[in-house]
Amino acid sequence: MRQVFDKITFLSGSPELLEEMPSLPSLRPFDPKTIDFLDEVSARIRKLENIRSMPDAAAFGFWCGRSSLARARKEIDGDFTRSLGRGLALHFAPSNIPLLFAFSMAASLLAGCPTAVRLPSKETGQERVVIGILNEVRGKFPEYGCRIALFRYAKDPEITDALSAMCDVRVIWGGDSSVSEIRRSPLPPLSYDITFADRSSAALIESRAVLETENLTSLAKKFYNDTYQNDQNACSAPRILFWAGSREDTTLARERFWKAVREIALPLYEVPPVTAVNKYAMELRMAADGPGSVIEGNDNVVNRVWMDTLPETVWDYTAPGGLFIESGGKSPDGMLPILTKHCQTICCYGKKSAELLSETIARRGIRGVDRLVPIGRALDFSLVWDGHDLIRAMSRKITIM
Amino acid sequence: MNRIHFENGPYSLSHEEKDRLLTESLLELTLYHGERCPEYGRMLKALRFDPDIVKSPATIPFLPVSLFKKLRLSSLDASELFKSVTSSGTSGQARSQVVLDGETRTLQQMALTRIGGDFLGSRRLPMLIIDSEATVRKRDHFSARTAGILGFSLFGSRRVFALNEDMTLNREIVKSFLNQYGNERFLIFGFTYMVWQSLFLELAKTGETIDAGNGILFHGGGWKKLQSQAVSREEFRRCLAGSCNLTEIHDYYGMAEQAGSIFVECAYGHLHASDYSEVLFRRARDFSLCDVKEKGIIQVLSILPRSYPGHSLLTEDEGTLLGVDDCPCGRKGAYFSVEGRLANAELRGCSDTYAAGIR
Repeated sequence: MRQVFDKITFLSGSPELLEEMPSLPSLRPFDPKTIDFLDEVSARIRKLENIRSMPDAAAFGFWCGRSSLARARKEIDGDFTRSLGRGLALHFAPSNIPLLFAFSMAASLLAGCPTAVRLPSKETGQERVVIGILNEVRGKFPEYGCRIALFRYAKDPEITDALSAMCDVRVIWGGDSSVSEIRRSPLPPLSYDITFADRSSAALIESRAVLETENLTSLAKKFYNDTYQNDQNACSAPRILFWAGSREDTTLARERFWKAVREIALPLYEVPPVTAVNKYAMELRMAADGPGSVIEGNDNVVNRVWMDTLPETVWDYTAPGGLFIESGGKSPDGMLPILTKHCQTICCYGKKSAELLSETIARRGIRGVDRLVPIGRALDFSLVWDGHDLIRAMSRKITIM
Repeated sequence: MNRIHFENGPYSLSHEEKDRLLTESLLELTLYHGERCPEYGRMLKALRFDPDIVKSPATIPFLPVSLFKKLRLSSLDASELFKSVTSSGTSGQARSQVVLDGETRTLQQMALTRIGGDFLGSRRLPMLIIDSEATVRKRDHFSARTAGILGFSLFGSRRVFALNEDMTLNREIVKSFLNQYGNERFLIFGFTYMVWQSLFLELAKTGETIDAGNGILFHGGGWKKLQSQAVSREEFRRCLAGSCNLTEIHDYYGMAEQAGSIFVECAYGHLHASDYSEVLFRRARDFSLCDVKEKGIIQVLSILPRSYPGHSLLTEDEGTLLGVDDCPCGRKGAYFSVEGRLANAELRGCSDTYAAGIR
């Protein structure tokens, strides 16, 4: 097995330590040793001089601090005194959301598992900083540090086979094709996968709520962060917007909302030429394939298409980089056709509609939608993701009769 | 069809006159296709197209050329006989579908005859094709390469294929062609990377040289493959001059989605729009028109396509307008350069963890 590991580039840990990891004892969820370790990482990240220029690192640093973790624990409330981590957790982190590997790792450590993470091939500056700090803290807590291995390797089924054979839980962050490809490597009978496939998200906005907001700049900024901040290409970034309200309210609310968003986005967002062409092609494809769509907007930063009704197939016409498909109606029920398994997050503005929608989802047993969050929090990491309660999914509960 | 001004030289119209003629033809085509091609009609509707605002070629709606990979856009009646041409697309990607009938094919050939004739003269010339005969034999697989060869065959009095089926150079054939025709004007045609790969590099292997000094080389198909081997236009020309004594070289810019009205490079290295076509350059930010010398996304317009709505296309290439009506070569109309493909965007966001392909 060793020889296989020699093809792996370690960023934290070593081949020798990795080989020992399956035999390390599990810890209880939220074990004080884990909290101490992560809190130290948090403190060191937050102390960095140039932290302001590293929003992703700052978000992780903030999230893994002691008090934030206490809040996160409270959110998934429960008694973990008789629970233990499943064992070695092997994670495949996604590219392009640079620090998701850190969140995935922290959730796994919090569950009590020794944690091995394959990082995406593309290295980023913020990733380097966080790993640097992690390695410093390892030095301070050498015994705990053995529970972590971070590495890269070029796509190689032999390595994936070897790693999969020794893990108890495998966490695969999508693309669908990554999930399928990694799943080709067999797991031991007791082990299982937690997968995060390709998903997309939408927004539900109450037209009245927008009209009643005096200054829309703050809402527009939050919306910008949910979308353009990651090229509208994160699973949880809304690509479809549904306006709940009367026709008159919606017309006026959209006008005001988009004016505010354009004011934020135009000076900040640089649209790559190929993205501009792709968005335009998608708008036209949508029009070509069916009647009832209207292309709106005067630039290629904020592209919009209005559809009188939303068919389920509308997901096929979404594209990243600032293309928004809009529709509306008196009640949020007009959204029902798009609440398929594919739909992950609904970003909401206006209290009433969000509650109405969540009731409808529960009442009808709808298969889609794992998160309803206020606009501005689409990308917030949570210990429950895509409907998986990560701590419980990576631990086991011991029953005593 | 009778509207097309083939009686004029292919580079004779001045700016104002051409704008007027083209605007009229392009608007007519837009309305014609809007009525006959349901998908195109719906696109115009979604764009809220208003014929009254059309005052210039720039105000004609444009379709991204990639749509032809997703949609089969036809303005023919279902009963009309047609054969669709499949473009090669870019290596490894989906192919384009272009629906062609006899009328549009004829228009394409007439335009190509006029454009090519401006450089080659009206007499047909012996033609050496840097490709294999197998490329044109595979009719089921009608690629841009096949279309180019068949199109340019209009200028050939005799066609000789210089490559074997495995795309290696058939030296014997080339030598006998040059023995027979090398003392008079003749035409060499090939795709840019084939000329480089299968002619120049093959000769370079053995250090051989040939004398094609009376030849005129027409080559097209883009520079992508050569750019990846870091071969510049200058080096391409220098090498061919060195090993083949070839000095009259014309690159052309064209695509299967708008065959016929190609853009040919003059002796000054400028690509020219003909009287049957126009070229515009747009900014990514809002698709507004670029200034002269400002790089932008290339839009190509052609008055030829009647069987499919391909008269105004936004390409995936970038280029620069260099001037209008005043190229030192004397040709009227816009002249420009092509910089190459638009760069792939590296988007943030969720994407593949492991799979090799980009999503």
